[in-house]
Formats: sequence, C-alpha cells, structure tokens
Amino acid sequence: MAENDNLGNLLARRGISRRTFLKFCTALASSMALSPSMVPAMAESLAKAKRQSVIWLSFQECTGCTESLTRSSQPSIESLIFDFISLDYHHTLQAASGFQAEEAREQAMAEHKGKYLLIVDGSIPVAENGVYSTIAGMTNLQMLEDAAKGAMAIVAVGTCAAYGGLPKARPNPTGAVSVTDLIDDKPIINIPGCPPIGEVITGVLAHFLTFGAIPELDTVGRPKAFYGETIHDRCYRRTFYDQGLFAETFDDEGARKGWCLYKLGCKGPVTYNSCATTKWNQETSFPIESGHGCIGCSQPDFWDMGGIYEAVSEPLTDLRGPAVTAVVAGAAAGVAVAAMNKQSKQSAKDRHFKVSSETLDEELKK
Amino acid sequence: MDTALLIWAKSTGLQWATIIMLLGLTMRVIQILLLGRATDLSEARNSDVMSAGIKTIFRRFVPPQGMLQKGLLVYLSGYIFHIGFFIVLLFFVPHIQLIDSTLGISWPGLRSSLIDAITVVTLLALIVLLLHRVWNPVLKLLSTPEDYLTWALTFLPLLTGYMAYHHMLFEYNTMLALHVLSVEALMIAIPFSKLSHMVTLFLARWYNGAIAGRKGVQS
Amino acid sequence: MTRLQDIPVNTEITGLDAECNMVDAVLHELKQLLDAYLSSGETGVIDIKSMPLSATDYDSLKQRLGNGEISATASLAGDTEIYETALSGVWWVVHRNIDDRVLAEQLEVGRIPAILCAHDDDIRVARERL
Ligand code: SF4
Repeated sequence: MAENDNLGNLLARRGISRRTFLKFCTALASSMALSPSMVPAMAESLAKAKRQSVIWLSFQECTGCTESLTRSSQPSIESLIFDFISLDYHHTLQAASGFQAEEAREQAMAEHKGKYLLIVDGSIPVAENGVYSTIAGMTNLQMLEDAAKGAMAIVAVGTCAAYGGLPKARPNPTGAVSVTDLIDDKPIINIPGCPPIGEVITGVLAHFLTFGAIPELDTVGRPKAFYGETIHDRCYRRTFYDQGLFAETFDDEGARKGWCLYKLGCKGPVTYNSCATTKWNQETSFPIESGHGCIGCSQPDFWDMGGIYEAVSEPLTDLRGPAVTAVVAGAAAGVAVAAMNKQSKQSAKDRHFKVSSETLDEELKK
Repeated sequence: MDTALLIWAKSTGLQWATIIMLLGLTMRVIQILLLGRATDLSEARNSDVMSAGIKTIFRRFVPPQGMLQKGLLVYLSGYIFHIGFFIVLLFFVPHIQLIDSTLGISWPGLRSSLIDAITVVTLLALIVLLLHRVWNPVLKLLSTPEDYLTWALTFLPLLTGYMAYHHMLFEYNTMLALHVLSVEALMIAIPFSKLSHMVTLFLARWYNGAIAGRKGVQS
Repeated sequence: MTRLQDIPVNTEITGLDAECNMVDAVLHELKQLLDAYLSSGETGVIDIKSMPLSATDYDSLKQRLGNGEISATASLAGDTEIYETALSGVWWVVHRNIDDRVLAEQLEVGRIPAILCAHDDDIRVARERL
C-alpha cells in the first residue's frame, strides 16, 4: 500500500461500498455513545485517514490481550481497519523474527517519528534495572522509554500495561509497573481487562484512527464510553441483589435460579467495564451469565483485592488475631492503670494525717 | 477511582481501627471495674441487688413519665437514629457478609431498598438532632466540640454508605473506600469519646439500679 | 397473495400524552427534529439502541410510529432494514451484522436516510468501470 494512500481508496479496492462503511461508522458511534449526528462527518474523515503506523510492544504479559484482539467479533470492517494500519512491529503477529524484527521496529520509529501509535501490553519490571524481562538483549524499560519518545500517543492494552496487573501483585518480585508509572509526557489510553474485550480494543483504536484524538477518559485513564459503569449497574442479576436473593454456593437452589453472586465473591460492584453489555465471544455471554462472579479484572490492583470467592465487603486481612491481642493488651493496660490509680490513692492516704485545732494554732504562731 | 485506598482501608486501616477500638474499650472497662466502690456498711434492704441493676438497664430504655411529651422530637429522633443505625449495620447483606467472614456467624439480611429507606430516615433523624442542638439555646451552651465531632463521626458512615450505593459525588470505589474509612474513624473514636457509652451505659445503669435496689427503691 | 400482516397499517398518532415517558421523550425529540428539518432542512438522528427502552416501550414506540409507504433492505456486510414510519420523513433504520446481531438502530429524520444515498466516491468508481 502506498505511503499516502487513504482508507477510502482501500475500501474501493476491496469492493466495500461507502454505504457499508457508513454503517460501520454508525455502529462504532453507537457503541462509543457518540452523537449519531456526527457519523457522516466521522465517516468522511475516516475515509480520508492516512495509513497509521503502529508499533506494538509486548512486555511482561501472557499474550491473552492479543488473543482477545484477534478474536474480536465484528470481523468484516474492523479487520479492515487493522489491515489499514501498518503494524510495524508486533513480535507475536509479525512474520519477521530476531534481528530483522528489531530492525523493523527501529526503522518504523525513525521514519514515523512523532506520528506513530504505540501500543503496549504487559507490565514493565523495573527492579534491578529491569533485567527481569528483556527482548533482544534490551530491557523492557529501555525499549518503552525509547519507543515512547517518538510516539504520538500510547495505548496500554490490558491490565498489566495499564496498571501493572498480575506481575505487580504483592509482593511484586520484579518491581512491575504500568506504562503511566513511567511515561508522563504523552497521551495514554488505558484499555484494561484480563484480557480486555476484543470489541473494546478495536472500538477504541477505531476511534483514535477516526478522530486522531483520544476519547474521553476516566480518572484512571479508561475511555468512559466502555468503562463508564460498573458491571453491577448493568448486571441482569441486579434485581436479585436488590431483593436480597443470593446464591450461597455454586450449586444451591439460588445458583440454579440465577440469583446474585455477591456472596460468592462477585466483584461486579467495584468493577468498571462493559462485559455486561458488550459481552464476550460474539455476544454469547459474560462470566456472570455463566454462573461465576466477576473477578474485577479491569480494576487497578485487582489481584490484591481479596480472594476471588470472597465478597467485596469482606476484610482483606485477618482480624481475629489482632482482635484477641488487642483485648488481652487492653485488659493488661486496664489492670496496670487501675494499679497505678490505686497506688496514687494509697500514697495520698499515706500522706494523710489528722489536724487538730492545736496544731493549726501552732502553725499560725510560726 | 482509588483501588489502592480501598485496599488499604480494607486491610491495614481496618486492622488498626479494630485493634485501637478493642484495646481502648477493654482498657477502659477494666479500669472502671477495678476502680471499685467504697463498701456500703449499711444493711441491704433488698438482697437481690444484681437483678435490680439488670432491670434498670432495661427500664432506662423507656423514657420516664412526662419526658416523652416534653421532648417528643428529641426522644423520637434519638430512638430512630439508634435503631436505624443498628438495622443498617446489622441487616445490610454486605455487612452480614463481613461479620460472617470474621466471626463465622450470619443471619438473613433485609432487601437493599429497605435498608436504603432506613438509611434516609436515620440520616434525617440525625439532622433533626443536630438542628435541635444548635437551635436550642441551653443545649447549644452545653455542647462541646466533642458533641459535634461524635455527631459527625456517626453521620458520615451512613452518609458515605448511602452515597456509595447511589454513585454520588465520586466513583463507587472511592466512595466505598471513604465509607470504610469513616467507619474506621468512628471505631477509633469510640473508646476515647462519649461514644464509649455503647459499653459503659450498661455499667452505669446497672450500678445505679444496684444502689437503688440495695436501698429498696426502684431506679 | 399478501397475508394480512404484510399489509402496512397506518397507525394514528394520538398526540403526546401517552403513558410511557420514554416513548414520549422519543416522540418529543422527533417533533423537534421535524421542526428543525422544516425550518432549515437539517436532518437529524435518534439512537434507539443506546436508549434505555424496555421491551414494552420499544413495542409501543414501534406501534405508535406505524408503517409508511416505503421499506428497503440493504445488504451491507449484513442486512440493514429501512422503512418509513407512518410519519413522512421519519425513518426507522436497523443495522445488522453478518450474524444478524443488531449493531445500531436509529430513527432518522429527513427526506431520505443517508444510508440509501450513493456516495460520490462510489459513483466515481462506477463510472470508471463502464
Ligand atoms: S452478580 Fe455481581 S454484578 Fe450481578 S448483581 Fe450480583 S453482585 Fe452485582
């Protein structure tokens, strides 16, 4: 594809009509809660969009995010958008390997300086100068810092890149951190999830390609269009929660009747994501629909939010031990203070002596 | 959305609040008990001093004659807020879940919408009591900063809980963290303020009842 | 032979005082969009899919808008169904993907829905092919 080719031409070559493209933009706008009146303009600008260079760096990760992305369910046109971007480096998807692969990355970074989109999945270990994860002899830390310099914007895909994720779970032996922990001079979009929903990744990327700008983000850098509400707020089991009907085990009457999974550890109330509406696997279902509580994977530090099967309101540490110690210590302190009180009372008593009028007279005479 | 704050509140914060509250309370109760009382050399007119004391503990839950009419609003708000507070504390399912996980005991909860309504009523009762405190000139004169502080410490857990449930002001996680923190503030204050009446009231009432009982009168 | 349900029915729109608020809100917005179109020629769209319509609201909205004279199906990587409601200039548009999943559902106000118009770029391609 020629360097200054635009998406409209690619569409024409693929035999995809502009009507179809308009339809795609309509669907995209609807899923991102954008005003439908913007769609025609959006379609026009997207059609004129130039080929976007993308560099995808994978650090401490499990490739689940890439798996999710490649299984995104609206293949026809979104995959086309991905044909249209120039994925200049992605060490799982690219054909090149070894030295050639690294060279491609450096070349893309030089050629599209200031214009490429940097996508990161996986956290970055910084302990011991980042030696815990290296690619081609280069630490992840170094590679991110280099690549971030020339990036127009950064997309942190997955909870690891966005917030540190599993590698950052206590005690975090590799000193894993998120992209935002290291880079503060570039716009960063976080698309957390373990993994994130494929359609959410593609939706956010399509939004970026269309407008050349990042969508509206919440306080932890997530696009509000997809992370604006908690799972709990859009959960179809919510009426059971409100009525106080809970499954107590995974195979009791309540579980069979589809009651709320709060007591079984559902983290839906504290998790912002769109699983309940966008769903997974071609809109088949989402975890709660399959009978398992939400594990809260799109939240910062979700691995340290207590056991998967512990309710949101349960404390994260043992309270019984400290409580017993506190009572014993309190009793001891009470006894000690009482003893002190008694002592001072006693000494007051000891200093006590009888005063008669004669003694007072003598005192006065002095 | 401060997950870190929530995690801290649910672990370290909760742990310390529990320790301080229990340590403080046991210390104060033991201290009071060991204080002892001067031996009463007179002959007891009623031998069942113990049950006289216990009766008083309960009798004092009922306002003395005439008082209810005099201070209807205060009595009513007082009851409503105490009862409401305990219902919300003990019958909201997430709270029961917390108790179950630490003490291993549980009981059926109430539906959230009911808890929600009770919370509103409780908050209103507390507001009425605050207004009474500032509007009544005598009470205002008698009030110390501690009175306002303890009012706020009681009010905040209810308010933050309500706001978290309704997604007001902050995102749920932050509000939930604030809710837990406000409860911890309350817990820490209990032993060292007039809030300790939640334990000492029983001692005081019992003692009053026992003295009166010894003298053969009802208290 | 056409079956009974295939014959379009013109449902009367009975003012804006119905029982469902959501439906009222949509009808009210339609009124404004029609006003805007009549005064300036500006077209408008309402996104139905992102509205919190209950199934009953949805049915009652459909019923109250009724069916008009035109309906069309466009094959655009999955079917798109378009029909004019009993209100001239108010179009009901449903976009589906290949798996028949609804991607977007809209009410469009204007002479003709944008999706039906051929794009100049496509026309240019057509010319080249001749
Ligand atoms: S299953 Fe989870 S998300 Fe659904 S209502 Fe219950 S607690 Fe909320």
